[in-house]
Amino acid sequence: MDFKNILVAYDSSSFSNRAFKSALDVAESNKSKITIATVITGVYQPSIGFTMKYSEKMLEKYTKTLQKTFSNLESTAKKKSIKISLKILQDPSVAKAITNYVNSHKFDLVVIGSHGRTGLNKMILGSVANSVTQKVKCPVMVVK
Amino acid sequence: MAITKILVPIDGSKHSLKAFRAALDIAKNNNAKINVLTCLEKEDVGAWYIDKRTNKRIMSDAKEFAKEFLSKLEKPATDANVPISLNILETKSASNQIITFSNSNKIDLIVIGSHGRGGFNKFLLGSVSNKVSQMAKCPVMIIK
Repeated sequence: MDFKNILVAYDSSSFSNRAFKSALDVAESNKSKITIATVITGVYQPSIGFTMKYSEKMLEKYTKTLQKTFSNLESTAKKKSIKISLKILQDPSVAKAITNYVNSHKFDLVVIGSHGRTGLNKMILGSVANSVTQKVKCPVMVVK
Repeated sequence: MAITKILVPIDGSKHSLKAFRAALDIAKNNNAKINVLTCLEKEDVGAWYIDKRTNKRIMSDAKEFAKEFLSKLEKPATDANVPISLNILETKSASNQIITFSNSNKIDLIVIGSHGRGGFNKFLLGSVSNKVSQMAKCPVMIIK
């Protein structure tokens, strides 16, 4: 089994940073391509009943900050000469967005941290990690 | 995160063999060692209340079957130049045994199939792989 196309679910938490690091290790030995996926969820806004999408201005602001953190990841990947790209998804549900994106594209491996930004219990999985491991159709690596 | 010790729980199902194949590839790339673990669940079967030796006989038979099955895995491992060790344990709960084994042997990665012998739904995880992915302290890779 070759892991040529790796997706890393990333939310800049310490767990997802660890996931990124181990994805780099896997990619190095398999010479694979890494895709970083982040999800922008909607926040409350008056127009929420009509559209879950952001206004152009807000979206621009968020993509800018995302690209800033992505450039950090890119530089560490470039040191190991691994191809890397960023995919920004927009959905109110993080888990749904990731599983839909993975299942509709050809990925060989999903690497995800066991908790995101809101994890409090070290013993069990976070909600996003749990539902992604259950619903995705390709191998999943859960990094603790 | 260097991977030197990989644990593959095997119960003879298709998914577990798929996991073994994936683990072999990872071990080859990382020069890692593979630990294969089979858990035989103790259950009171047959006429134990008449003759207590029945259980022991069934257990020793099961161990022999398991040994025979696991010995078939040695050849592909030696072909790939991967050191392998086979473990067969009697236990009351397979998932707990896998977790304690991984903790006491300092395993770096668990590669597990998404379903065992009892899985019927292709979308969700089996109970053992779910519990292992939640409770284990090391990264877990789930092969579908």
